[in-house]
Amino acid sequence: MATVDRLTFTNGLSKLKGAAFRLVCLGATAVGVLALAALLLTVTWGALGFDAAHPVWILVVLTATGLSTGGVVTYARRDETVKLAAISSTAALIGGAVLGVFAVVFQLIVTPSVWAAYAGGALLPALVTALVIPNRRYRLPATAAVLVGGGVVATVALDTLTELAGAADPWLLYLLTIVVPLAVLVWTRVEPTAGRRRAGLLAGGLVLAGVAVPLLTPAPDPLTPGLVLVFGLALFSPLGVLAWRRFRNGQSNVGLAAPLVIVGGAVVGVVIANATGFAAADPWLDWQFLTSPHSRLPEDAGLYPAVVGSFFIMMVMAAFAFPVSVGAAIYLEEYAPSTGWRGRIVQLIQVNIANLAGVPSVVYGLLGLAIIARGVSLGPFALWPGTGTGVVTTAAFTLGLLIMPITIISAQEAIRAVPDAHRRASYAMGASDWHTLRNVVLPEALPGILTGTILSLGRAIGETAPLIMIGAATTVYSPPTSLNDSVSAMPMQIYAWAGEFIADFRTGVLSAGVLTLLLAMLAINAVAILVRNRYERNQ
Amino acid sequence: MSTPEETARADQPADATDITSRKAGEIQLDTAVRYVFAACGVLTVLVTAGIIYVLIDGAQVFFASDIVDVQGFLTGNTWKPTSKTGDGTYKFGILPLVSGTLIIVVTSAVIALPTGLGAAIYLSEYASPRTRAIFKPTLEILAGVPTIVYGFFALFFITPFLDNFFQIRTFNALSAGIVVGIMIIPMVSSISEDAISAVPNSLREAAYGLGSTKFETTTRVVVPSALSGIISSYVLALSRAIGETMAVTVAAGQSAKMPFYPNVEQNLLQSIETITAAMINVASADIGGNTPAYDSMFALGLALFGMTFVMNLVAEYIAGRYREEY
Repeated sequence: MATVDRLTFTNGLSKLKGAAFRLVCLGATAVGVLALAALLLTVTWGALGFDAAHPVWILVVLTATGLSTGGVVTYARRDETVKLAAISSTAALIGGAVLGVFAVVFQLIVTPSVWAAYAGGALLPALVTALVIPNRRYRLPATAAVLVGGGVVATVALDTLTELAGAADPWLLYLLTIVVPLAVLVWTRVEPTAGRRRAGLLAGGLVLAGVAVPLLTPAPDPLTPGLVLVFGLALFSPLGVLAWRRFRNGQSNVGLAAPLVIVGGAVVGVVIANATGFAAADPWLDWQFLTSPHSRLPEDAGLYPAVVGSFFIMMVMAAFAFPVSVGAAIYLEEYAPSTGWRGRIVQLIQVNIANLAGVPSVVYGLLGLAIIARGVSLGPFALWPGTGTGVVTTAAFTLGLLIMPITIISAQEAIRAVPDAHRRASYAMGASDWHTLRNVVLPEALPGILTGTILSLGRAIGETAPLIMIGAATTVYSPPTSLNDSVSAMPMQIYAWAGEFIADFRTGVLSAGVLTLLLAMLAINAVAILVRNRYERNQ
Repeated sequence: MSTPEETARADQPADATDITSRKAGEIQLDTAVRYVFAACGVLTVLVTAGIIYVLIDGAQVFFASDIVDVQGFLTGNTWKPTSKTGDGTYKFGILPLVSGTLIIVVTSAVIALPTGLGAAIYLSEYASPRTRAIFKPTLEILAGVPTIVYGFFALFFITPFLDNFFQIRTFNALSAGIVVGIMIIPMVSSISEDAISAVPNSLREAAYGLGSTKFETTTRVVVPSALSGIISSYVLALSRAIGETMAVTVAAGQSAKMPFYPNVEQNLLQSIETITAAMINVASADIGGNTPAYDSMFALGLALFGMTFVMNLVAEYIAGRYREEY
């Protein structure tokens, strides 16, 4: 009897110990989640100005939003197709929004008339060529030839063409260079399967929307009707492609309305809450905030030049850093020798990349300041002229070097995941290294590479210390329009607001800036997850 | 770019002659492509070389001026780069900054090392796939939040919260250390989790076979087996804490001071300045190039780079050297 007692006693104690340990570990995991929740809640609360609102107002809005979200979730749970549609349409809208911001910033920088010159001179003729030539074999070279030829012509005649285009309203230029070609493209895609009537309706509707949307929306300064049009097209085109694919596959499109229902619920909630007469929230993050520069008055301050600056820097950075990073990853995975003294050098490069990933970002800032901004010369020869402190190019190159190691490492992982058997099969059929790489390895590794590179964009958008080191301004009043303009970025403006004297800057305006930055980062990460999930589903 | 004929050929099974006789142009293309990619790889080495050159060159200019020598820099206990002290000179002693950095590192280590390990154990040993699917992406997001946002979080959320319990300054080391700790939790947890997941199941099964409970198996078999990976994650996370810049600049203040003794609790409650924050403060103080303060940034950068470089190498060495071979 005594033995049994002792055993049960030990068991009880060790069970307790085990359960306690499990609970402690769960608690440790929850710390991170709780911290993130507290962070998001604080920021959202401040940015949407809930401080000013009466508790009843907040309750009504939250109830309405909760009801619509809950309704969508309950409905979507019953049906796998609807669930998938709801998730992918939300993702498509987020992706469209990111695309839209990039498109608007791109148009702001190149200006509508230059865009029209190149679109009319090269892009559209190339598109027509691609659509007209039926033979697959000649399509690509002919399109490329037209593209290059048209590009040269447009560059030579740029002054005349821009003058010509400058006479028209930018919105009209976008209508002619984007909306109409898009309508034609939609027609050619839709007509074979859905018939003339449907294709005509879609294409006609698109053109009509292109005419109507800018005429109906009051163009809020500094965004012209043309830019609103560009943003709208980018915002909805992924959703449109998604809807068309589902339609073609005979799937129901009911689930696509999910984001609309959720947002609709929130809007209805606000309307009802306002009708109750209780004090409403006074949001800091509103249209005015996104379209104005910094101001001495908290109510008038905004993030516009910094948003444009951030996305401008990222575009230039991506154009430089991604090809180089992917190239280095390809070399290390596919070409680099692994034996002998050469192999040892390659090993050294690998260790070096891992170390670079751990170098503090502020040190990259010193590199940017002393070499990229100020230039290097070897005696009388300037090896690098120096791009100047605080300008777009310097910021882009500095951040590009900063994200290179992590981009290389993730690209390497993606390339390594391609099974060796596929390479060997390609070689066995007589393909050369380059052909194997281009036709077998890269297509398979591309989604993984893209995920990694997009994630590194999300890291770059929040970097502050290197920008301070290279002398970027914390506040600029007009957005940069060329590579040599001095630039600010979202985190820089946030840093400046944190030190403002007026309390409203440090609470409301700062929260609005932080929320904008976080939303941009989360949206970019969402796009990366979207790419990854699509890839995993396809496998 | 290759012509469509070549593409078509690569897509189809080639005939026997194609394997042995490649066109000369094709081989040249292969070689050219190889060199382009190799150049990309070499660029990463150039970046390291550039960093080291910039830091040493700047530091050497700094030490060549007669304001401070290496010994004075490393042992000086006052940091006043942009405003003159009572005796009319600028002071460049790194010790107060090192002390500030150490305070942040220790505080964040107290937060992150146990928490990160606990999270790693939970995620790999206890969590159901469903729970994992929620916690893991959340921790990834935590790792992606910009560091300036953490600074904001410390200043406007954690400090007011701590103010209920302590006599705390607006800018203080404690809240900055806490957010740096939160920031490096994902780093500890993800690398440790990889190490713990890599422990083969046969070890766990053997422990169960000997009558161990899950708790005993986890703490006496699994965690010790994964120890090299866990320690390596600790070193990497601390290296990240040393290099962390914006959160401490925003939340910990800008007053470099030597540690308080014997009132050690003041070290957490008062404002401090880390090496990284000192660099940011010099850079944003709007001083021209070629002044001692400007050059001092490079000396600080060299010290910072040296510390993190050694720690990263140590982490890599531990992970490789003491890896349990199964």
